[in-house]
Amino acid sequence: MDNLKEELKKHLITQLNLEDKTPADIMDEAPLFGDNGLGLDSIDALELIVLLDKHYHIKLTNPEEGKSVFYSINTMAEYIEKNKK
Amino acid sequence: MYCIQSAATISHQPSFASIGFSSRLSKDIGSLIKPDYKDFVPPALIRRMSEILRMSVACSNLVLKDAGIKQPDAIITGTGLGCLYDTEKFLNNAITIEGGLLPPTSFIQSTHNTIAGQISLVLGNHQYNMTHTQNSLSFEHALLDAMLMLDEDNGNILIGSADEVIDPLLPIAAYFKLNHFPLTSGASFYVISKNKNEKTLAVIEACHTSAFYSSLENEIKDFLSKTGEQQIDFILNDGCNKDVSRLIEALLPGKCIINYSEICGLYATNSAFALHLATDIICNKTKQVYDRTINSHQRALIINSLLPERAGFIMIKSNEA
Repeated sequence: MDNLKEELKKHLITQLNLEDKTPADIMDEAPLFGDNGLGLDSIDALELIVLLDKHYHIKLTNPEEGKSVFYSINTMAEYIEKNKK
Repeated sequence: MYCIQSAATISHQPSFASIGFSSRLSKDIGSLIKPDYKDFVPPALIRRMSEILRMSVACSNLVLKDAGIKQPDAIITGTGLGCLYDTEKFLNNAITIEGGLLPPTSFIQSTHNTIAGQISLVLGNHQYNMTHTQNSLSFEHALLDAMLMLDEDNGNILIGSADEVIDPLLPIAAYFKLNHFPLTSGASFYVISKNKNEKTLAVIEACHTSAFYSSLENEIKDFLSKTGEQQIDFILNDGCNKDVSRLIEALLPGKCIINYSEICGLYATNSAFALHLATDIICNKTKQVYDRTINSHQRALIINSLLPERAGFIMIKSNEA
């Protein structure tokens, strides 16, 4: 799981052009969206859907799930573990 | 009267936030000289922006600050080839991700009007927002649009243009024999208004474009007859076509002619760089540009005939003239 979280952080930095961030700057439990976390926005949410499809072949078809799945690195990693093919 | 209230250019010369840069031009066209974009672009937005957007937003913010304006009454941009970096990225994704989901950012930012759109988003501006794209005449058409708006009403118009180079352009430019000068990137922005004040740098007298003309000689003569050829102190010519250079020398003998593509390199809207260079020469009374000597600084003519059968002319004069 730790390896997956580390890999996920690297993908996040590349896909979202988080130029000033390193994986160490992204806390596993910190919210990805909003001012208290990474400060991602709605366009980033679309990029995260593409990231799941591209790297883990997971299609997020239910938009209602997005909010809980993309809450933090922890929630994303758990979702990937459960749904990866 | 169309008064240039402020000007900013990011180019391969030390032109950004650099009054008097016309006297400090480098002989060699090196890399793009960038400011620290974080000083001009909101950090939350900068990570998504390609170079053309960063250049444009940084220049826009600087000219508005220099002109003492928070919100312009219109945002008008010109771009010859648009946001090429994001276009290339989007197309590469489309090819490599066969049938999968495509990342949205590069698609959203690949359109030509992204430049004016991003500027308005950063400013929170809801005024007239227009993008002109007519290849090498894009900047002149944006300028004409701004001049027409000022004819109708007062206001401060943010106008500018930008183009960026990407690697796939190099063989295409060679194929079209556009390899006299290195391909480069650049953005130039201005605030122009109708009223002259203490901030006014120079005055645009006239702008004219012509496409698919039968004789460039007649086009130049027509423009000069409307604006008065005897008072021109120096000419900025794109310098890409030797026949055009010879024609200008024959029509305007003895005038100081500066080839601006030699200074900023080649991109579709480099006549916008020429306008800033002319403004800087006039304002600072620059005596020497490369090996050309400029003795008088009242009035300048910019000739853009970068592509065959397309010509743009801008006449600019000192605010004292």
